[in-house]
Parts: sequence; C-alpha cells; structure tokens
Amino acid sequence: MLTDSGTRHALLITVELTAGAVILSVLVGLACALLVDRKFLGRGVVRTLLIAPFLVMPAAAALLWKTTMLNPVFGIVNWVLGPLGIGDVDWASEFPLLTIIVVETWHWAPFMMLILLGGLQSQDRSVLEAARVDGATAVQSFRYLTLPHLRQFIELGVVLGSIYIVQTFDSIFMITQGGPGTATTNLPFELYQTAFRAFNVGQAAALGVVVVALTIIVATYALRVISRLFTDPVVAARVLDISTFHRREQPESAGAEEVPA
Amino acid sequence: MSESRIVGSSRLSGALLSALGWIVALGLFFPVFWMVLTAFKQERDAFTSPPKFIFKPTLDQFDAVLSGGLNAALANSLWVTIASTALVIVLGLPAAYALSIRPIEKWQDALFFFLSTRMLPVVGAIVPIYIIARDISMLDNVWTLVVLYTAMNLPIAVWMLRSFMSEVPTEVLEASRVDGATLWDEATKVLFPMIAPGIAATALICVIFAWNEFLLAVTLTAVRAQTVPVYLVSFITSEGAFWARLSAAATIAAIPVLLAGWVAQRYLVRGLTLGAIK
Repeated sequence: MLTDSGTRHALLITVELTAGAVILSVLVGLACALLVDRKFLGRGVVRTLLIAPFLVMPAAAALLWKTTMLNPVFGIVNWVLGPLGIGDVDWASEFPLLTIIVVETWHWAPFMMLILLGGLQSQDRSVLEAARVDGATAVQSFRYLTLPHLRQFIELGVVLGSIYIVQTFDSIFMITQGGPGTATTNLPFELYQTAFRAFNVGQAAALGVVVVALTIIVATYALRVISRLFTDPVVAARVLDISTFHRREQPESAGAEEVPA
Repeated sequence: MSESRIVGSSRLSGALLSALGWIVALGLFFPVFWMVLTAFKQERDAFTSPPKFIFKPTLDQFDAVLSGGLNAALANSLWVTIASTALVIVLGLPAAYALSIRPIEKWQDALFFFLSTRMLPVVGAIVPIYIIARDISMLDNVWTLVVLYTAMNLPIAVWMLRSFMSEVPTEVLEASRVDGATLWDEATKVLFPMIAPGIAATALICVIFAWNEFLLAVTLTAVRAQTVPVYLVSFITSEGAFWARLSAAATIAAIPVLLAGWVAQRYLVRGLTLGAIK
C-alpha cells in the first residue's frame, strides 16, 4: 500500500493542502487579530462578523462556495474579479487545490484570529508604552516585542490547525469529490473512497493506520506545545488557566523578562 | 491602551485602520450574507449576471426545503445534538471534578490522555467504527451518532469544565464542607451554580461540533438517521439547478450554530484550544 502511487499522491496533496491552508489562515488570522485588537467604533460587531465563517456548517459553506460564489458564469467571485480582467475562470476545475485551500483558509482564519487575539491581549501594555517612549516605531515594537510574545500562540494555532486541517473532508466531498482526476484527493478522501466506494476495507484500514501514524507525529509536538504553554509561568500567569498547576506561585512581576534592560 | 500599539499613529491612520477592519470583516462575512440573501430569492433571481442585490423577497424556498425532507433531517440533527451534549455534560462534570477540585493521582497524565484522544483523526478510525456498527446492526441509527458524538466531544468538555472549576476559590468549597455539605450538596448547590456560565459555554461548544459533523454522519447514516449535512449532499447532484433552494437549506442548517457561537463567543477560544487560552 505504501508503494501505491495513489497513496503517495494523496499524501502529497494532504501536505500541500495542510501547509497552504495553515500558513494562509495564520497570516489572515494575524492580520484580523491586529485590526481587531485596536479600539474603534463597532469593534464588537466586526469581531462577531469575523468569527462567522468558522461557525457556519462546513458542508453547507462548501456547497455555497461551489455554487453561488465560484460558479464560472453566475458566481459572485468572478463578477467581483471581472473589472480586474480575470472574469471567467472555472475555479473548482482549473485551480482545484487552490480553491480548497481558499475555502479552508476562509473557515480557519477566524480560529487563528481568536487564538492570536488572546495572545495580543495578554501582552503587557506597559512594555509597549515604554518602547514608544524610547522612540520605537510601530513596526519595531511589533517586530521585537509583539511577535516574540506571539510566538507560542502562533505555534499553538499552527499545531491545532494542522491537526484539524489534515482531516479536511467536507469541502473536498462537496466541492471537487477529490477531482478533477485525483487533483484534490487527500488522505481522508482517498480513504473514504477506498472504503466506501471501492469497498476495499483492508486497504482502507491500512490507510487509516498511516493517517494515525502521521497524526501521532504532529500530535506529539502539539501536546508538547500545549504543555509548555501550561508550564511557562510568565505566559501562564497572565492568560492561561493554571490555577491548579501553580496555585500558590502567581508571579507578580509577570512579563518582567520581556522588558529590555 | 489601544493607542499604544499603533505607536505614533495619527488620527488619520487610525481611521484608515478602522475602515480596513470593517472592510476585511465584511469581506469575510460576505459569503454568509450572500447565503441568507439568496435564500429569499426566486430561482430566476438567483441565476443572474450581474448578481441581483435588490429583488422581491420570498419564503417559497424555505417552504420547499422544509416539505422536501429537510425537516426529518433537522429532527435527527436536533436529537443527536441535544442527546450527545447532555451525555457529555453528565459524564464530563464528574470527570472534571476529579481532575481539578479533588485531583486523582497522576491527574495531569489523565488530562493529557483525554487530549490525545481528541487528536486522533476520525478518518483514521472510521473503518473499524463502520464495521462494528454494521456487525451490531447499528448503521443508519441516530443512537450510533449520539454515542460517537459524545465520545468526540467529551475530551473538549472535560478540559473546558476543568478550567472553569479550577477558577472556583477552594475556600468556598472548603467552607461548605466544614458546614457539613455532602459531596452531592457541594457539587449541586455550590460548585455547579458557580460555574453555570462555564457549563453553558461548554454545552454550546459541544452543540457546534455535533451539529456540524459530517464524516461520521455521511458514512454511518443513510435515510432514516440522516442528519442535516448529509441531507445537503443531495444538492451536489442537482448543481446548477436550485441555488435559492440550496441557500435556504444552508441557511436553516447554519443559523442555529451561528447564533449559538455568537452568544458564546467569549468562550469560543477557550473551547477551541481545549481551555488552553482564556
């Protein structure tokens, strides 16, 4: 089964899809989190609107992306892109993998935004204030203060996102059915086809073992990230629920290590 | 506090960033808005180029889907969601208690074991689950989904409930014990009322995951136990024909969870990160 070219192809698609969607959704989520972290008129409404894509039933959203959004003739995406000169693209068949990646990014960006927003709001504002007084520009304080602080939140987003996005099934089932050909057949869809279309239960079970083995690798790393979040006293004291881990040692000078000497 | 982030920002660039926030939000929300709008169209208004934003709204599509099989699927989804969520809370509360307030030995290991079960992809287990369900004649049965969704949501619920319980000051519980409260009294009269919002938030997260689940539903159900996402599959084949009707069905499918998520948005991140981030 491991020598089967179909399996290796599905593995490749899975890696491309997961990497693409995770990276894009972290970037979009970070941008959204930075925008929403400021106070402005209607911030609550904007935040509420932004989390909607994550809540809409993925199967329903995928069907709508396939039809009303991405249809080559009547779809609204081509209508919007029309003035830019890219008006009649059949996205789902010409760029199938990109289509799935975009739909998954749309779905997962709010998830990343929520995690990164949690990170931004746990940052010690007085450090930023001090940097400003010392003449740091916005870009500098983002690069040297905010980004290092966000690192572990980005890590958490990446590992949780990878675990979920590796399992992408709904959107592929609804939009491309793994096609055209096998252009979007990732491991979960390959397994589904093997088991429930070709009724090759033995091979499907073997594929299942591969999926589980791959997940164990990611999950081991994920568990390490999460447990580090729980045991890092500086972060933990401010954002995480560690009251039973460190009930008596809430550091009062939390964040001190981030202040440049 | 926000001004400090945008260091040296003038009022103008602040206004630009606010506007950008609105534009991005409306852009990402647009597919949801378009779904709801299309649901109120006649089919001929749904298929137009350029797309129509102004039209005479109608409820015809909702009538059509509700009399065409969606209500049976809705009933199944509703039952599966409510039953599995209730089971999760009933099983999760004692588990969380034993992992926070009176921690068992090696409770951290137990906690991370729970977490690791959540990381097993459903697709890795689907073949054995299918074979077991087939062999005990539980295919196309709502109870199969109830059991599986309970198992699927239990780790998240235990982590969330535990994180809410560990915020309760130990002094309060100790005081009730000194006053002679039994374990049952301590739990039902002191602890659970104190974490009631947390229990509600946990339940809402479980509702979201159970309602939206597709892979298990599509492989294990057919006609009788079909849930809403499985019902939507029938629209794949009729592509190009019934956009307004599809939008109406999708709107009905999506709205309950959308509202639940908006209500619980304060707790959403906590549930999604298994309680790791508040």
